[in-house]
Amino acid sequence: MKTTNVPVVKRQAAGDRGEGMRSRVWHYAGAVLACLFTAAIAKLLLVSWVDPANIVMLFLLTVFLVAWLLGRGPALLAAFLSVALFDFFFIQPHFSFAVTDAQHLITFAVMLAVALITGQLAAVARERLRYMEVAQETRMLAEAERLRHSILSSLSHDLRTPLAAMVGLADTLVLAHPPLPPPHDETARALRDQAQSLAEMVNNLLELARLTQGRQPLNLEWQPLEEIVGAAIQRLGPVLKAHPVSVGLAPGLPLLEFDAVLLERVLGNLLDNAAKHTPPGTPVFVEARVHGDVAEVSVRDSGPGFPPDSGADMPAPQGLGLSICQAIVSAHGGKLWRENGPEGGARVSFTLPLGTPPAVGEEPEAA
Amino acid sequence: MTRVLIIEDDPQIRRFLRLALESEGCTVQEAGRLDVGLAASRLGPDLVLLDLGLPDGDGLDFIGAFRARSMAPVIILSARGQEQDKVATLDAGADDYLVKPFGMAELLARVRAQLRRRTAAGEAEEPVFRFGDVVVDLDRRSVSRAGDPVHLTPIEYHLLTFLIAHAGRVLTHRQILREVWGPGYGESGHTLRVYVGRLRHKLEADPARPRHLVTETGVGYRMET
Repeated sequence: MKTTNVPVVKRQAAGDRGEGMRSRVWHYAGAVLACLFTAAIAKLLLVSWVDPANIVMLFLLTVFLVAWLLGRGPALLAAFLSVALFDFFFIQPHFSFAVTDAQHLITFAVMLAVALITGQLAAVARERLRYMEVAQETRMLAEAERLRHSILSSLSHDLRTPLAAMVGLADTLVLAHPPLPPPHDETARALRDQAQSLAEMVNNLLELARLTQGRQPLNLEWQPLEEIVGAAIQRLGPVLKAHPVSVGLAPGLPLLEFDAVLLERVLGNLLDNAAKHTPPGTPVFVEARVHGDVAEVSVRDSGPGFPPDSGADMPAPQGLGLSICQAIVSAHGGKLWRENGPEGGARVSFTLPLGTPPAVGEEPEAA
Repeated sequence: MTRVLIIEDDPQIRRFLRLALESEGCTVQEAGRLDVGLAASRLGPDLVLLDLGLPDGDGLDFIGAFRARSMAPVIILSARGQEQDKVATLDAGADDYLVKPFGMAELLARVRAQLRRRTAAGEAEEPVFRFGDVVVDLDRRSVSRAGDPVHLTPIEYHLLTFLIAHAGRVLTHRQILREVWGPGYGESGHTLRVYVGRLRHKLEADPARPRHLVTETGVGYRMET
């Protein structure tokens, strides 16, 4: 895993360096252009009625702007270039770097010093400002994330607690001694089952919110798919009672890297949908195989299949279950799709990238 | 008379737990806060039901203090999405967990299993352990299935006997790795999962749907007889 990553990272770093180099060259070119532009404007338009002292000011302004917009290095270049251009175009003899009046040497020295200092100060101020902006932005993002997390977790507590109480209390009525008379017993059962499926829906919604809104880190571990298939079937228990489930995992299926709790949720939702939308007694199939560089897992039923014109619209509960599956699978870098199988029945398949599983710690062959 | 301590902040859930446990013949003591629960736990309950979402502290605080003076089973009541807290509390010495919402049958089955385990632990240890059609003779270190001997590697055997010794209890990945592979293997969860898979292929009728070597997703494993 790590060894395959290294070349990619290196290539990217080299790319970044190339990019940075190119933009730096443009910054220096910009500094040169700015100084030439100032010199041209001053020479062609202003020189006849503006004092040379004010032309020095124009050059200083140019250095300051270069520092502010293009940074420290270009400002340094602009400072030296400005002094040179000023000497070349505006000091007797014109169009020569020769200096006849020693007074001008003082002008150059002061001009260079002021240009260097303002340039560096402007560049530093600009860097600091940008740093503060980034820090501020990061802090606001973290704050928003924290707020979202705390809203989500208090919402989850406040929604789940009364539902847990409802399921439990209704169940005490169902199992009361002596039993309730038939009509009330039926009501108690209905209350319990409805509260149960509402709780299930709330769980799906909260998980969907957590997956799509926040940046919930996946708890990725390498593991056999078989284990999670078994756990999902066991968890569903009574729901699957009316349907024989046949598990067909291709032999030699490698370990896959996934979040066990979330993937069990995917398989659980798909099995639940299959069981609830097909006639009792019809079989449900869970299959998995390697296909190119992904593992393809599918849950197939023997019912009427998806309605031909259903498109993306699904009955709400089934749609919610599939949405959370979709979100979980794409968080793992896979894709999920649904179709009607060639043998009839609805089939939902998803992929997981294969990657390179770590070696299993084998024991020395027992004597 | 079995005394059960309930530490749970929601009064309606407490009421449900009380009704269920009293129908089972237990005496019930209730606490709505962790500090009240800790004080009540000094009276020596036979079993504790501990909610993980208490307003004044987390389950770890309770387990630490409670385990210092009692080995009575502790069952965690948790919501989905609390996997990390759950695992930490199990690692610290809790015995089992229930995910809300749960019904009465589920609750009572877990409570009975923990109380049974407690009584069984007091008796002399059985040298022969059976589950399904598998017989494990702990004295002779032999395993057979439907009468035929089964060959297990030393690690597979160690893993199996560790699960057997804690039958009915949830063991976390970390607890199993530390016991069977040693403290340096804390990060080798995939190795553990592969070995459990091999044990299932040798001992379970349908390895994809194990009935005895049960997966507790995101947490660990449990041996069920």
